[in-house]
Amino acid sequence: MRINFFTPLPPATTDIARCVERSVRPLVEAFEVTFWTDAEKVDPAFLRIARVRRFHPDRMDWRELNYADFNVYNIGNDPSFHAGIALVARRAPGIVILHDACVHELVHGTLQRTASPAENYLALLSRIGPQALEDGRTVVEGRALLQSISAKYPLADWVCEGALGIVTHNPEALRAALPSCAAPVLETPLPWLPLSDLPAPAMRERGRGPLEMVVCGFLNSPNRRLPETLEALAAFPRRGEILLHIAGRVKEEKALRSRIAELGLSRSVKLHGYLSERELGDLLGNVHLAVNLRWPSMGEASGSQLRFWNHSLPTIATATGWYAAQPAGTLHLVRPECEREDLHAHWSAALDDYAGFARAGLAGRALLAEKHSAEGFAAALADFLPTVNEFRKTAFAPVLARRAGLAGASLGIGPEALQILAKSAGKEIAALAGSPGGVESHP
Amino acid sequence: MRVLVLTTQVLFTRGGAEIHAASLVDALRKAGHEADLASIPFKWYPPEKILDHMLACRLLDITEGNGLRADRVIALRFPAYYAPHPCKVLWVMHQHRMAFDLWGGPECDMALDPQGRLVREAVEKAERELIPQSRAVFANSQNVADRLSRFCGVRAEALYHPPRGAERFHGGPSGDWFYYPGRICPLKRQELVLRALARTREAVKVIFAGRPDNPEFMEGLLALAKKLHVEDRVRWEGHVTDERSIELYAGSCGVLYPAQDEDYGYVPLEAMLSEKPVLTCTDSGGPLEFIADAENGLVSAPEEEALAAAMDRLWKERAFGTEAGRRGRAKIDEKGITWDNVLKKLLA
Repeated sequence: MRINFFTPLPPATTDIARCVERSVRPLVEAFEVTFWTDAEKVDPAFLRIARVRRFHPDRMDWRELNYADFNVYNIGNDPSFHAGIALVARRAPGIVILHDACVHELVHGTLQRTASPAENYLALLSRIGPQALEDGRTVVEGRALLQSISAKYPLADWVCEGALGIVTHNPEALRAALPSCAAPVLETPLPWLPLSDLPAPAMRERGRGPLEMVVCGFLNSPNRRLPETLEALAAFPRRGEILLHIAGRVKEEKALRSRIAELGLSRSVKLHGYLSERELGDLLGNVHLAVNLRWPSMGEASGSQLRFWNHSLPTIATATGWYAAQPAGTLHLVRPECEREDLHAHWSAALDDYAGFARAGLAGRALLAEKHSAEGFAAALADFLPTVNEFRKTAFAPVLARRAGLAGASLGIGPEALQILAKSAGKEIAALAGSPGGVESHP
Repeated sequence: MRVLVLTTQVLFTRGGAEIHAASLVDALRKAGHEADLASIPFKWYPPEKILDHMLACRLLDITEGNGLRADRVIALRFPAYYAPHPCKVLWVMHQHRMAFDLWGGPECDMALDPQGRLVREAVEKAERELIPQSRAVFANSQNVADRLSRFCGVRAEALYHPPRGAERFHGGPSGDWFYYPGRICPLKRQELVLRALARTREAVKVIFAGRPDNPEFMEGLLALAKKLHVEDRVRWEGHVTDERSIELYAGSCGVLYPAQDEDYGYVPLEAMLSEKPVLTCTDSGGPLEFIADAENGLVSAPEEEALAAAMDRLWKERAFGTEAGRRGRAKIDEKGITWDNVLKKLLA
């Protein structure tokens, strides 16, 4: 089975690249897979395991894609890693692995590569409705931040248009973002490591000294709640018993340091900056809990969370999206509307009974082995391919319906006549696809 | 019987397919039927256009015209044969080969488009669904029938027909040239002939006849002939009249037809009617249904060296060529390839 897999690859600083790095071995064993990247650099260690090709969305040899059995696109919300992939995915139909159900930032960023970015962005929003168009104008005119409207309009349909299959690690978020979708959907957990590479579960213990917490990952997005976490810590009466580690790149580090000082947290917070995999692993092995908030959720399944569970690390997360759907006892959840209150309650619980609090880390570790193995992901993908193949046989029908609709509209005839034409075209498209029913032709 | 012959027309292109359709109409009229020819324009690029044409054909109403009902429709070519009719018989000249046997090969322009695979799947799906809905399915040759079965699971009976003006072809003394008539295009492999010619040991000469599909391709062949120093051993006659072609057949020492996986191929039949040996290739498809190696011609590997050796042999061994030509004529007479037989099947 020949598969082209378009994805960010290590050393790209995205969890999706790391996810591919961790799960590559079972994929290479299951398929004749070629990984495609538009990045300059690829980790030499990855090149030793897998076949890698470079691509540019404007200079594709489409034969490579047409002659493969399947093309797979790893899509996340960050345009710097996924814009090129999204452009290819929209042209050559394949399987979209949608890591974030909300891809508004990706779509906006990708459209920046077009000749008329603002017009194209607004045209896309106008298809949703007048309010979306108006909201888009506030962004284009600089009156509002993109993040202020992105969760409201996930734009997942833009990257999934024409897809032959969709893979989601967060079914609920996908259904919310993409309520109507003709393509088959595979719901499968985000892969972590091959089973043989998982470290042994270890009950975390707290020795003397402060309760050490960690916030890590890509912290620039407002939905990571870093300022709110700091404010909650500042307001926590027992803050002197806590040390918060912040690991990861922060755009405005100076401003963050000032804010920490303002809040009187200079002795309670340690900024690490970007840490290598090994350094981060060491840190996670030594802290007592992780804070992994998301609000609003972008519909992502959290790679960071799998990393915490890998260390059997108990975690506080927001009761939203993927996190809320995890089995009871695997996470300590925070209600978005009572964020500070709940954070305080969990911190108190950890301070008072760390052994009880830490059991969630062990439960998460068990879940990681049961549901998130890389072998399980490769097997689920292999099982999904026949369904995709069946769907592909009639995937031309909506494409043809749209073309017929455009041709009909170009006649300049009235709506009643257009309706008759649409009905005939729909019937005959259905006949071509071997379907007894009709296919709507869209004027 | 009122019969509509339905085909596809590639604009400004004329070749075997057009001759086939016109000959069928002539035969129907001669047999006393009221026959008409409907040719639907077809363009296959970019590949999404194929979808448009498939739908356009489905939307056509060919049941009647001005109150005159078509008692029978004989549909010949993709996608015209998708037009619905209750008494439709398919006589498939060839499928859209880019989606089937040519998919994956260097000639497949469909795969150069990002939507190529999607369109290929669409064509296959429609073929599987719609072709069996016809009253009967015939193929131009066993080769075409085999492709229908292999790629789409459709059973078809091979139904051979005579070349146009079959009765006018005649033999003649073996002259100092091979004749290669046909469209000038990559699938007919004129380039292979030039390369083989450069490797012959005899003073072999070749006369090509036919129009190029694409002027750039023709320019490439001219340049290649020059580069190989064989330009004075080839003659490009361009389009020739039927009379001229019959003369060139009759005066040749043999006929070349090394085309790649040909559907049917009039050329071998016309050569046999002209009592000439045919040199074809092991992968030439339809011609192999008529040409047997060392019997009524030679079958060579599609390689320069092998083709050159076969050309040398036919050039040198004139007595063998003459005998092979006679055997070819006898074979075609035995097969009973007549329009009467064709019409009997199509109108049953």
